[in-house]
Amino acid sequence: MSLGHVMATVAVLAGLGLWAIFTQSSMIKLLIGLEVIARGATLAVVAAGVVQRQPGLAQVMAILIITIDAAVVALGLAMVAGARQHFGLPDVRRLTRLRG
Amino acid sequence: MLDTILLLAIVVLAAMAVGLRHLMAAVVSLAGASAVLALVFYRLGAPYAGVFELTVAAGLVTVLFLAAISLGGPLARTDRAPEPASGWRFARGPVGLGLLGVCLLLAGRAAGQWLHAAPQLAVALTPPDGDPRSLLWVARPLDLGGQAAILLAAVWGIVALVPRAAGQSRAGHDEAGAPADAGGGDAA
Repeated sequence: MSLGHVMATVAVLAGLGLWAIFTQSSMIKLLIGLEVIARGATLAVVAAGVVQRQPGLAQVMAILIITIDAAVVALGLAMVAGARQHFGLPDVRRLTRLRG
Repeated sequence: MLDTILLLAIVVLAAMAVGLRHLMAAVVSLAGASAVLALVFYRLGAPYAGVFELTVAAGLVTVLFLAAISLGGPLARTDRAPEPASGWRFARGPVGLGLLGVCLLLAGRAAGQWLHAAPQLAVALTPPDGDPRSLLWVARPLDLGGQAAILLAAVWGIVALVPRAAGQSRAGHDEAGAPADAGGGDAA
């Protein structure tokens, strides 16, 4: 597995995730885009560990990224549930004001 | 050859996850991308990361997504919302291609620098003990503490958000089950 192929995959994943975040309005689609970026970041960390001959440290970093990413997704889906109760559809275009 | 096929499968499944309008199919595609990514981790020599990717990212996160979509009812099954008439709709394609090009450029430069610097860095940074278990529990306890704090903060946030939404659901829905302010007149 060449580093060029892995980095190209990382770049495409980051581009796809950014495209979803910039263009989609569904909150769930935004979270899916964030997940795609996180997959690319995890792959980049593991590939960097392999290149620098530190697979153990790279695995530790990847495990931390995966766990924190799951926590972020859970929190985001809780926000989706709240937005759905307020507006009926989790659409970020309807989230125009904040109220404590 | 197999590695290239796996990387292509990740890209295709991620593109399906981002592009499909049916949210269930999108989430299942994301889970497939995570599962293939776990295989790539294994082939890269990172089995622990692969196991975590398979169980947490492809399993737990997918279950969370499917639960959130299923609990939302038929409205949440797709992301079809009325789109405003604006120039942004027509600028999406060029913006997406531009972002992809910038990412490819940055990744190419990073890969080139890595290829030149890898031999020296590999000699200088080789750890005395490369076992992930000892690295995680002995060498990086601060990371574990930070991770626990982030998880606790997430749990606190979920507990703060979900019951409040449920309470407002009882107050904000009529007998037919439709949201009282679904039109977004009182935004937030």
